[in-house]
Amino acid sequence: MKIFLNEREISVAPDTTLHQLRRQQKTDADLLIVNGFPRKEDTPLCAGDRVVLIKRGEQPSAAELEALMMSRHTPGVHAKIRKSVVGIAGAGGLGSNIAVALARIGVGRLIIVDFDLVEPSNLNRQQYFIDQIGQPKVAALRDNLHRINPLVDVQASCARVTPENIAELFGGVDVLTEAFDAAAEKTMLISGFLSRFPETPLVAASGLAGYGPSNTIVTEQVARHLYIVGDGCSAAQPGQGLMAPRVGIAAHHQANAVLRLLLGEEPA
Amino acid sequence: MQLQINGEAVQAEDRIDVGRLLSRLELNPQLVVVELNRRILTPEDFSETALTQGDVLEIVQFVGGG
Repeated sequence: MKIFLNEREISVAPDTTLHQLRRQQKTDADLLIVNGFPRKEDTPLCAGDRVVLIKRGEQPSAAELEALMMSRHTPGVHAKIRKSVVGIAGAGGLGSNIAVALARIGVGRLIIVDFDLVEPSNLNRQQYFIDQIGQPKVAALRDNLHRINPLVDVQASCARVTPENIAELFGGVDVLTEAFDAAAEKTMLISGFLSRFPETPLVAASGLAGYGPSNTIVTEQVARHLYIVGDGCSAAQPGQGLMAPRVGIAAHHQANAVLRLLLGEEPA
Repeated sequence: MQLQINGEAVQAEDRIDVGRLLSRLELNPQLVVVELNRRILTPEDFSETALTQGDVLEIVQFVGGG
């Protein structure tokens, strides 16, 4: 019967079990993953099963890296998203977290645009490190993303987004995420993009400041192809800051909405 | 004339444009996104777009932070 071993299709005898496969293929494997879930006990394999054999501590070959990295995915997800293109407008608290999440799951291409440099007040919520202070955010983020997943194609632009350059920057995306800070920039991007690309979904964010309850952050469809994450009212303002936990919740709502859209599901 | 705004029936003067509707609703045009009959408007469209009976609008307000 045919099964997949580290994403390669191979033929095995019909009653092969998981431990038998290990003895045949990689006797020193100590992490056995079947269809996205780790197994310890021996179990019979079925046609079409996706098996990954890992030895903890061992560096995988370049050829096997991708298969091993995605071995805990829900089966079928990675094959769909590795061809996808996602735009991320802004590489700050929302954008850098969205980028890391999407790079980890192996989205094929990320188009990331931000004009700003890394500075110390970013580090309470943004995916940068102390030794990157002073660097353009998009360059630092690209480096970080490639340390996480070298196979993601990161197109980084150090630029300000305007209505005039939206089409050139984000014209090829399957989904766009709005990850700006100022409310007027959010609306500029949304109206500028959806008026030009009315059939491409956009996931925006509004209301994620402070340390209010996590459960008030929601994902909602507000217009055709426009989804908003947040509580709609917690603005960043004097006396109410932006901090990693709640900003991260919003960013991961956005990343999961993107994933659902890429997989043909409604986000909310 | 009657419009639908965010799912609710609203009365407005005939042929009011989107820009005047936003000020009537005390909304800052820079901080909202407007969808009219399933199409997103640009800010330049606001004063040029006269509304008619039965128009369906979604008006979404944004706050800062990210």
